[in-house]
Parts: sequence; structure tokens; C-alpha cells
Amino acid sequence: MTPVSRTDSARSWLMFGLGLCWLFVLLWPLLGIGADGVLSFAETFAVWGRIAAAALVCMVVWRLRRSGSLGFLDAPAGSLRDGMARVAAGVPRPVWLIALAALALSFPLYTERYAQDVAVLVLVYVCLGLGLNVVVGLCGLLDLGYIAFYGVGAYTYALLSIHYDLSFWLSLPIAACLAAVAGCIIGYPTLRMRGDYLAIVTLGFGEIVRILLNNWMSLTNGPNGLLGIKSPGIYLPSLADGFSFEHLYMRKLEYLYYVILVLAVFTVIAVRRLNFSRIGRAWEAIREDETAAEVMGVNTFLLKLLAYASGAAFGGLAGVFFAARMRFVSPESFSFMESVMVLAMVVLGGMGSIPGIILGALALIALPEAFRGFELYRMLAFGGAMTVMMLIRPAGLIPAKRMGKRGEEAE
Amino acid sequence: MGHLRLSDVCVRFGGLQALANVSLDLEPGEILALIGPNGAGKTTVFNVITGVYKVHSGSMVYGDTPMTGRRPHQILAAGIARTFQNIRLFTAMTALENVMVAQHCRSRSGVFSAVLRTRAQRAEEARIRAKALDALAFVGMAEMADSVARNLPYGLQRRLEIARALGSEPRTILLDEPAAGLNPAESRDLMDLIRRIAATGVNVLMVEHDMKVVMGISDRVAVLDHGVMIRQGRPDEVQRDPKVIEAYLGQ
Ligand SMILES: Nc1ncnc2c1ncn2[C@@H]1O[C@H](COP(=O)(O)OP(=O)(O)OP(=O)(O)O)[C@@H](O)[C@H]1O
Ligand SMILES: [Mg+2]
Repeated sequence: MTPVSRTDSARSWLMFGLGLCWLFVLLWPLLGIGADGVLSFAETFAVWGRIAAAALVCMVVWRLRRSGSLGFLDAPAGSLRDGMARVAAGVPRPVWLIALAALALSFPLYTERYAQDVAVLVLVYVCLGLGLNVVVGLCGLLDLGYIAFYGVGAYTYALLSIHYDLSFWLSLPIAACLAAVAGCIIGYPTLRMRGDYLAIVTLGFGEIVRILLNNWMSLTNGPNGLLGIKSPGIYLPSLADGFSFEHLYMRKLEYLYYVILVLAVFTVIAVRRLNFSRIGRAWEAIREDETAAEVMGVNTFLLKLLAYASGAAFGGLAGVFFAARMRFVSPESFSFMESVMVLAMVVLGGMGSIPGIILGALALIALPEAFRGFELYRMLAFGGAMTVMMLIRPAGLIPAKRMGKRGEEAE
Repeated sequence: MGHLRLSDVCVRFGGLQALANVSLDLEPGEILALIGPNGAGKTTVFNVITGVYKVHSGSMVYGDTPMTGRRPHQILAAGIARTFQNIRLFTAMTALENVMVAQHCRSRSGVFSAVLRTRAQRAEEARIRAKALDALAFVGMAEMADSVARNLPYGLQRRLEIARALGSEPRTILLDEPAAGLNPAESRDLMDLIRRIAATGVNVLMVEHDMKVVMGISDRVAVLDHGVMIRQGRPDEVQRDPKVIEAYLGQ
């Protein structure tokens, strides 16, 4: 070993040790301070020990790779990866899509209620993530109050359903329009802002909507929420006496799964088509350089408003489904934390990348469910995952595709 | 058509008078070079014409339409396109997409037709793509259509900016130091390109420090010094003018 690499290795082990100490300092207040003020160390040490052991294994593997001791593994691994990529590329796109569709459609047939519940939640967040992606990923406007539009959609359907007995399907476009209007109202004052100011103002507006829902007792029943929302209905042909249509409420989770699947697929297609249209290009131009976009003929005010409105409309659609699924809405579902969750999905998955955001939603909803026992340290794991992501994949899990052919050819 | 006229334009930044009573005529089909020492206000003239800066007083007319106070996208729609002194491409987008953005104001399909992908929308997209490819081919970058702008070498990025401006089907094009940072061979190609642009009937207003380029292709030269237009005329006349020589030597 040369002296250079020895100091290099010493330094990385030093950083490793420091990192673990730092983790302990962070972990102990989280776990060691009991509700009754009793201080304990046992649990912290147990958790910390496990994390340290796992990190040690990663560290050793990484060091060995750096020093070339694992070189004998690299060649087979590389050829395996290439082979898989070649097989994957050999299968034509429609086959992938059909396989995916078959998997999604048959999902309720071989899963339990619990898995379906998680799947429904994931799909709701896919809709939200894709909607926010229009604003953040395509147009480059940081929006910390996005969940407000989800709330607008949910309350719109709740009120329409309770007071006017309006059907779920009719409420969808109405809620989307109302959410879009809310998007314009919130977007309008931010048109001339950039960066930090924009984030603060959108955060404020998100809270305003939540507080409004909380305080407008006569309309929204305040913190108690609204009960008695109808499930989506469907007309089924029935041959019982002659030919007639029978109205049925889709209360069962399987049915709701299909409803949100349809909504999610619609959102994916709509966002994708927008992305590859003149509107989407103008949004991306604004994200890249607002002044240059304006000089190149993009009406930036109008298009930014349009981004807020369309993003909000997708959020509104998801909100309608949420109200119909829960059959109950209350303001606490639309807190700032939810906005952060959705934003985290977009960033984690890869801004502007549709498959990335789907994966991001899956990662942030399904994984914590899988590690239920881990719930306490969820936020810690979350922060850790984000940090690791920043280091190894700064553009997200699946970065937006740029190289080579885009647009129609990539369809 | 295509006649651009600035009259008595004044621009101030706080206490600094960046432009003082600047008047400028750009005739259809001509190549006019705007020169002057650093900080003279050349880029400011461009920013005024394209609506990026507001004028303090004075007016601008394009053809028969008054343009003072218009927003930049309206000015592009009227037919005036520009490039930037320090390249401002949409770096994460492909070369083709960069040029396609310029067609935004020449197309009209909205959100709903994009989501429904109507026949009219698809036809329009095809037209935008074809126009953008034409513009890329015009500057000789057809085979770079799918490269991401940020990965292009410097000279090609400059060229792509010109293609993007041409992609908006302008009648007037403003080039801000197009030869900056180019090697002699690239400069010669650029002169050839500017001549070809002018030959299509587009009038060119160009800021340039490279005197070989200026003297080689411009029909007329305008000299700006400390925000004041000190001379306009044929290149050989301007070159000999003692006031111009002094402005350059005195800096
Ligand atoms: N946005 C602005 N705010 C304040 N001052 C400005 C602004 N833009 C330009 N100026 C000032 O106006 C003057 C003219 O600047 P301008 O960029 O037009 O010069 P230029 O002739 O293009 O110079 P160069 O050859 O260096 O590009 C300079 O003194 C500059 O500092
Ligand atoms: Mg300049």
C-alpha cells in the first residue's frame, strides 16, 4: 500500500467513526428521553448497535472494493447486469406495458385486504406526486402547500355528496375545476417571485386553506370533519326482470382499488402527454431559464398559472377519491407534513420523471408499511435515505430521460 | 415590414444613465453592427428592444406597430428574436427541444388538446418539429438534434442559440457578440451563416467586438459610447472617424 492510500483509508475510517458518534447524539434524544422524564440508554444502544453493525459491513465492502480485493466479483456482476439490460431491451415496449397492466389488474385477486389498502394509498400518492411534478418538476416552482388542493378536492366532493347527493364521477370534473381555480388564486401572487420567497408564500397558502377548513364550522364542521360521504357508484346491467341498470355503491376495497387505478393511469397519461407537448416544453424552458423562456416567446405568467392550475387539478382528483374512500374528511389529513411527503416523493423519485415518481411513492408509502415495527425511527430512516440518495443518485431514483430520442419515438 | 426604429431612448439604472437619447434605424434586409467599448450600453439596447428592460423615455416602433412597453414574448411574436451575450440555453433540454420552444408563440394548442392528443394537436406538433429541424439544419446542426444542450461544445452552443432564435421565424434577429470565444475558423463559418441569414430577408442587428467580423459583413456600423450614439455610417467611414478612434483608445 502506498502512503497516500493509507491516509485515505485512515481518513475514511475516521469519518465513519465520527458519523456513528454523531448518529448516537442524534438518536439518544429521540429514544432515550422517556415521556415521564426518565433517561435510559439501553434501547438507544440496541438500535445504534444494529445500525453500526450494518454500516460496518457496508464500509468494509466499500473499502475492499476501493482497494481492489473484490475485483474478481466485478467482472461477473458487470456481465450479469449487461445481460439483464440486453434481455430487458430485447422485449418490446407493448409487452412490458401489457405485463404491467396484467399485474395491476389482477392485484386484488391474490392479495389480502391489507396489501390492497397499501396499494390504494400508493396510487393516491402517485396521483399527488405526478400533479406536484407538473409544478415542481416541469415548471421548476417550489410548492410547499400542494396538499391544499388535495383538501379542496376532498371537501368539494364531501359537500357535494352530503348536500346534493351528487355522484362521484360527476364530482371529479367539478372538483378538478375548483382545485384549478384555487391553484390560480394561490399562484397569482407568486408569479413574480422566485426561489425562497415562493416556498414561503406557498407554505403560507397551504396553511391558510387548512385553517379555513378548520375554522369554517358552518360549512366544514371544523375539526370534527364531515361524515356520510357516499362511495363511488356504478351502474351495472342486470337481467333480473327484463333488461335494466342497477345502481351499486362500490364500498368494497377491490372496487375502490380499480377506481384509483383508473385515476392514476389517467394521471400518468395526461402528465406524460402534457410533458411532451408545447405546453410541457414551455414549462421546462421556464424551469431552465425564466428570462430566456420569456424572450423566446413563452408567456411566463400565463404558463406558470397554467402549471399551478393543472397541478392542482390532479391533486383535486386525488382528493375526491380520498373523500370517497374514507367516507370522512377532516382538516388534519391536509397538514404541512403531507405536502412534505409528496414533495419528498418527487425529489426522491427524480423530478420530472414519471416512472421515478411512481417508484418514489412506492418507496415512501410501501416501504414504511413493510417495516411497521420500525415506525418510531421512520423520520430518521427517511432523512438517512434522502442523504444517501443525494450522494449516490442526485437526480433521483430514475432521473428524467434526456439522452437520445424523446417525444413521440419514446412513446 | 421589419423596419425597426428606436427614437430618443433613455434608460437609467439608479443614478447611472445607461442610454441617453439613443436613436437607431434598422432597415429591412440590412446587417447593422453595434460597436462600442465595454459598458457602453450595447446589451442594454438589446434588452430594451426585446422588452427585458423598460425605457425611461423614448419609443420603439416595429413596422407600423408601436412596441414600447411590450412584454418580451409579445416582441418575439412580432418577429424580433435574439441571442444572449452569455449563452442562455435551456441546458437540460435537447438541441431540438430548445429550438421547438421558440415555436411556442407560433402555435396554439392548449392543455386539453394536449391531454386528449387531438388530430389538430398532433399535426401542430409535427409542424413544430419540422420547423425546428429546418432551423437546426440551417445552422448545420441537424445531426446534433438529440444531444442535450449542456453537453454540446461551446462553439455549437453559440450556434444553437442562433438556431433557437431562427426557430421562431423572425424577421429581425439580434446577435449579442456571436463571435465571442470562437476560433478563427469558427468565426469565418459564423460570418457565412450571418450572410445566409440576411440573404433570407431577415435583418440583423449585431453587437461584436471582433473588427474582422464587423468590417467583413456589416452594411452599416453604429458606435455607442457611454450610452450615447456617437456615430452611424458605412464601415470604412466609421473606422476613420476620429471620435470613434478616441472612444476606443480612451477607455
Ligand atoms: N440590470 C442592470 N442594473 C444596473 N446596471 C446595469 C444593468 N444592466 C446594465 N447595467 C449597466 O449599464 C451599463 C451598460 O451595460 P451593457 O451591458 O449594456 O454594456 P455593453 O456595452 O453590453 O458592455 P460589454 O461589451 O461588456 O458587453 C454598464 O455600466 C452596466 O453596469
Ligand atoms: Mg454586452
